[in-house]
Amino acid sequence: MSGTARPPGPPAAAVAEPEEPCTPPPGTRVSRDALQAIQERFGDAVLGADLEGTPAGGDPWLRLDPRRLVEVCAWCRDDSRFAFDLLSLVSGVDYPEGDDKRIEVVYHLDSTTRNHWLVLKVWCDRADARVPSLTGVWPTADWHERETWDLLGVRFEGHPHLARILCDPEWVGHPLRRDYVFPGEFRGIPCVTE
Amino acid sequence: MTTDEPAADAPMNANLDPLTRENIFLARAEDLTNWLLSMKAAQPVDAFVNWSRKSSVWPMTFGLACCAIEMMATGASKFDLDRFGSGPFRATPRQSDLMIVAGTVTHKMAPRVKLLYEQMPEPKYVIAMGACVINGGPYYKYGYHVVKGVDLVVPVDVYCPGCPPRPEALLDALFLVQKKIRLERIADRGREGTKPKVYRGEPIFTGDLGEDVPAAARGAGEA
Repeated sequence: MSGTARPPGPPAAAVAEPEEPCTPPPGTRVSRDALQAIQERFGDAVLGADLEGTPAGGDPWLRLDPRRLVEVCAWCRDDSRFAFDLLSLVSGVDYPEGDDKRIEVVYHLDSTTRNHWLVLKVWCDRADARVPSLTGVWPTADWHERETWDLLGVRFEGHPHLARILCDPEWVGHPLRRDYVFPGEFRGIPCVTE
Repeated sequence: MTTDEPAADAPMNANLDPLTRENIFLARAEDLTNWLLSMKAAQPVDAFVNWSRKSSVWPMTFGLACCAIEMMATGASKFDLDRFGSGPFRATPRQSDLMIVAGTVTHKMAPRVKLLYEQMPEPKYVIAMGACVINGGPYYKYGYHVVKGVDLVVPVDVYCPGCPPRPEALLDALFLVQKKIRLERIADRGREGTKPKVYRGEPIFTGDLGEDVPAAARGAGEA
């Protein structure tokens, strides 16, 4: 077998990970310290939480008040203990049925220096989905929010250029909504197959 | 030296039909002349023109998705599309004879594909490479964004199935295009219906691709 020879010493699995300022529990990199700190500092902004996660690997999350979202996220970015310097994902989930019809916008915050992450959620109304934009906090939110607007129809207020990014500019509707209906044709090309 | 070897003064490949044996690259000029003179009235011109055209089919550099990786492999040294005269992938439709639609064609991309096709000079050929391009492939039923076959957008000459097709399959598609070219007649140029192509669509390109972002879709779009 070719490859570089391993230097003498204990096998790789036995090497202890270096100590970090915010030590995550074994098996996960979710920053439980950040979950707790946000609850303590912004208690009135937290509308719901799942602090356990799921056995299948679902991350714990906090549900925030949309009006406080920008404030909390800016704090998460600037606090030196957590230093969430990367917004790695903005996505959305449509829940069209049940008592609480809603669209959830999910934010995955990452820290490249502390090596942990955090999941935040915001609920919005299906009929008039509006969420404040995070482009002022992380510039990378620009395209993520355009994608979420394109596919789920969530309007990010304060976004500098909220246009469709994946679908054609003249596309009608938001395809990832559960009640989306295929167009019969687009630009003269039939879309629906029998 | 063996006894099977022909006499020294016999012309090279004298007993070979250059067309059928695909040996025309090796033919000397006098053999080619003799062969052309032996053909009937209008055929030599057709044969010669078609031979030269089929031996220099220049594809357009045009990859849309993962099939383009296989297209690149076909052009690279291992499979070497250049052996068949199709080496130069042109970066402009003006210099291309062949459009290999390699990858998923979305509704957003369809007007661009149509525009590129219309910018190519006649005679031009299209290979629909891969399942997505042929009929939508894995996006056939639930892909809201995928055109269900590029033959709804441009006329297709050869379908090349696979997901993605191996380079050998693309080479086979190129050979079919070459065969098609070889069987053409100059007298048929410009006549409708003389080239078998599959086209299910209607002309969609109106000359206006529109603004990058129309006002209707900017910011306050539909709910």
